[in-house]
This record gives sequence, structure tokens and C-alpha cells, in this order.
Amino acid sequence: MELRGLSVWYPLRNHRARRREFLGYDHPGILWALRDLTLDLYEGTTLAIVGGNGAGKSTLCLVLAGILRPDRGAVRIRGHVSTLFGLGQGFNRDLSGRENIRLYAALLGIRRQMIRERMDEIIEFTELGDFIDEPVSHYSAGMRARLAFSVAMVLESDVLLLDEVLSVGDAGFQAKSKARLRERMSRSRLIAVVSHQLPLLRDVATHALWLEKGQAHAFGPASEVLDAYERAAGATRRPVRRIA
Amino acid sequence: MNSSWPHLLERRELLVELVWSDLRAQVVRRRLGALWWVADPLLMMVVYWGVVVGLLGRGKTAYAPYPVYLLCALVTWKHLAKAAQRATGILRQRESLIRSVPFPTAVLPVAEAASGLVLSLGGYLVVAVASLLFPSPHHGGSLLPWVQVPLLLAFQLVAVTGICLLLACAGTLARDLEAVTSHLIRIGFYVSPGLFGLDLVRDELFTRLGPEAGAAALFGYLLNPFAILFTGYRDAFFYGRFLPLEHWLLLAGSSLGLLAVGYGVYRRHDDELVKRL
Repeated sequence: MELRGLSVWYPLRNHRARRREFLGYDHPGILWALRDLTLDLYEGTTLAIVGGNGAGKSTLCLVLAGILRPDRGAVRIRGHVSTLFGLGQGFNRDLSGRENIRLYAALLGIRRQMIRERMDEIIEFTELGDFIDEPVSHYSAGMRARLAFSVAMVLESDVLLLDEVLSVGDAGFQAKSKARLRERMSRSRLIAVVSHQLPLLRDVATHALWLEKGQAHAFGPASEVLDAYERAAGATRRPVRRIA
Repeated sequence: MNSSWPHLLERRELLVELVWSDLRAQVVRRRLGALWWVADPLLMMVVYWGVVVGLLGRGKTAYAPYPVYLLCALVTWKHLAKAAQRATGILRQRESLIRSVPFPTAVLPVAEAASGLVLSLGGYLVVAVASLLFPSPHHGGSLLPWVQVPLLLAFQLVAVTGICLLLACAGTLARDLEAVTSHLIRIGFYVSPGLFGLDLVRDELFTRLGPEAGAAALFGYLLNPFAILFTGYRDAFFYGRFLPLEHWLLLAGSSLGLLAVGYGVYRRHDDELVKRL
């Protein structure tokens, strides 16, 4: 994965807004969510992406997923990319879990033939039992997450992007989903994870990228960057030593 | 993921699933389910019969039986109206999905057009049966002109898809368009030969403008694909005759032109649309 001068702006609805310290911008009508980001990542890397609210983490994920195109710069990714964020978006609430498996799989780009072959395996993994044929409107949030996660795990890819998804469901399902996700991650050549759960990130990440106001504040070995980030997050405003 | 042709073709299974899901949800949501696909146009016909023929005393001569005459246009217009209204706000409604899963977003308005067409097939069934039960005195007597219907449906889908793509894009960039769309569609219906026939339009234009200017004005009028679609369904079901070749050529040109414009505009703003949600 190569990022070269990656920059993304968003239009501001209130274009008369004045310059503020937290969200700096130099054009009255736009906000630079990412600015001149340059990075090289290689096979075998698990990148943790950290930063405060509005730092540009989700925007970076959107660009890497191909949902957003950069306004300046370039992204080059070798291999197929799949995403694990916003699990369950796209469910039709009037349809049953079984019918939504097909719909969600189609949204993720999973072929109909593959879903047909693995339908029983997916349903078994969800542990939803007879609820699988009930409308999703009758499901709890945890049940919807189980359903979506079970479908998403079918998708194979070279690059895996996760945004706040390191385990799903209730306590009983979490251990199972965590194990399945680890297995899935082991089959990916490159992983990028956005999360505020630093202990989990320390466990899985090899490298970390700390974003601040859309720019790379630090990049390097995960333990060092995450330590620095944790110190800065817990401290009052003071200069932070750059790692990279 | 942009909505280029290769991406759209690659994700054709998604389009089929979206259409199927929408149709299935429509059935599941209501107690009578799929029966509404026939009952809804039937009720529409009964209402217009009661109001136009019963109360207003119209449609007893040139266009009798008027409800059948009118339904040929209403079913088509309802497809456009519903699909267009839904397409205008579709990207905003599906914002969370669009920002979570990479897929060519153009499939959303295209799916609206396609599922709307399938839903309107019940209406055409009602028109066909009504034209047999209440035949027009002007009917040619042959059912062979019904073979035009699949081609009319195909061009209708093309035209509505183009409009849905255009409105999906415009509705995202201009937030207030959703409130205006239904009024624009209503105006379009009254301007098109929905309540009246093309013969009335032709006579009026020729009377007011003379033969040459009238012919040119009529040509401009027929650039509206729905003017020809209404006429085509009436020719097939109501009059039992074939649509003239020049009308087919105009219909092909205008509907494909609409699709080209709609898709072109969508593609031009494709990258910007996600940011504007």
C-alpha cells in the first residue's frame, strides 16, 4: 500500500465559519480532513490508526476502501480490499435474516454461488436458530451485528480494513467472533485497524499511525507510537515528541 | 468505488438482489401482499371512472371508455413518479450504507427504476384485461399490437433509469429538490398527453401555428419519451394498432438520450456525491 501526498477535503455547510484551533482550515468553504499523507506499508503489516475525534481516521479508511477518492495525491493498493465497518448497514428490516444474508453478501461483493454453498455454515455461526427466518426488525442490535459479522467473514481479501470492529455481539459471542476475526486477519496480507481500544491494538498491531488534524503526527512501531499517543491523551496540552 | 460501466457490470448481482429485496419487502409489508400490484391500479381506474365519467360526465365520446384510456398513461406515469421521487433522496437515505461498504452507488437509483417497472406490470395486466372486457369502439379488432408492449416497457425502463440517475445526483447536491420533485412530475403529467390524446395536441398545434411550425412544434413535443409511451400503450391496448415507425425512432432516441445524460451527469459528480451526504 502506497500513499503519496494524500489529501481529502469536505465542503463546509456553514461556509462563513471562522478559523478555529481544533479544526483548522485555510479556505472558507472547505475542511481538509486529510492533508499530504505519505506512507508505505508492506505485506505482513498490521497498522493501528489512532487519533482524536475529527483527526481523519475514518476518512483515511474511506479512502483506502475506495469509497472516497482523494482530492490530491494518490493511493496505490495491490490486492483486493475488504472492509469491516458499519456492520449491518444495508439490511432490509422487513426481510428475514436469511434473506438479508443474500442482500448483505451482494453488497459486500460476495458471489451468489458462494453464499448458496455457505449459507448453512453462516447461519450456524450466527447462533440465531429459528430467528433466522424472522424479520430483522425483530432482532436486537447484537443479533444484527452477529448476522452481519457472520456474512462478512466469508469475504476473502488481501487487505482488510477494520473500523471499531474487533469483536461483536454479546459476551458469549464475543470470544467466538474474536477468534474468527483473528483467523481472518491471519489470512490477510495487510490490515489497517481504527480503534480507541489501545490494549487490543497493542495486541494485534505491528505499526501505528497517529493522526492529528488530518496529518501524520507520528508513524512507527506500534508500541512506541501507542505509548506516545496514550501519554499525550492523558496529559494536558504540551508538545509531543515525534517518533518518526 | 465509482459507478463506471465495468463496476456496474461486475456488481450486476447486487442490482438483482436490491430489486428482489425491494419487491419482497413490498409484499411482506402489507397483508394483501402481491395482490396490491393489481388492486392498486384497479382502484385508480375505479376512482377515475367515478370522478371523470360519473361526476364530470366526460370521456363518453372520443376516448370512451375513458378510464381504460386514462389508465394506459397513469400506470406508466405512476412508475416514473414513484421511482423519481424515491431516487431523489435515495443517496441521503442510504448514507450509512454508502459510507460503510464500497459499491457503485448508481445501482441504487437504477434499482428504484427497475423495481418500479416490475411493480407496474400488475397495472399493465389490469389495462390489458380491462381493454378486453371494455373494448373501445375504435379498436381495430386485433391483439397482435400487444407485441409492442415489451419493447415499450424496455424503453420506459431506459427513460426512467436516466431520470432516476439524474435526480439521485441532483437531489444529493441540491437538498431542496426532494420537496420540488413531486410538483415537477405532476406538471410533466399534465403537459404530456396523459389526460388527453396526441391527436388533440396535434390539432391544437397545427391550428395555432400552421402546418410547418405546427409540425416542428409537434416534433419538439414528441421529444418527451412519455408522450410517445402513453400513445404507444394506447395504440396497443386501446386502439389495437401499431405505433408508427417514426415514433419508435423518436422514442429510442429520446429515452437513450435521457439515459446518456442521466448517467453522464451522475458519473461527473460520482466522487463528490459521497462527500455531500
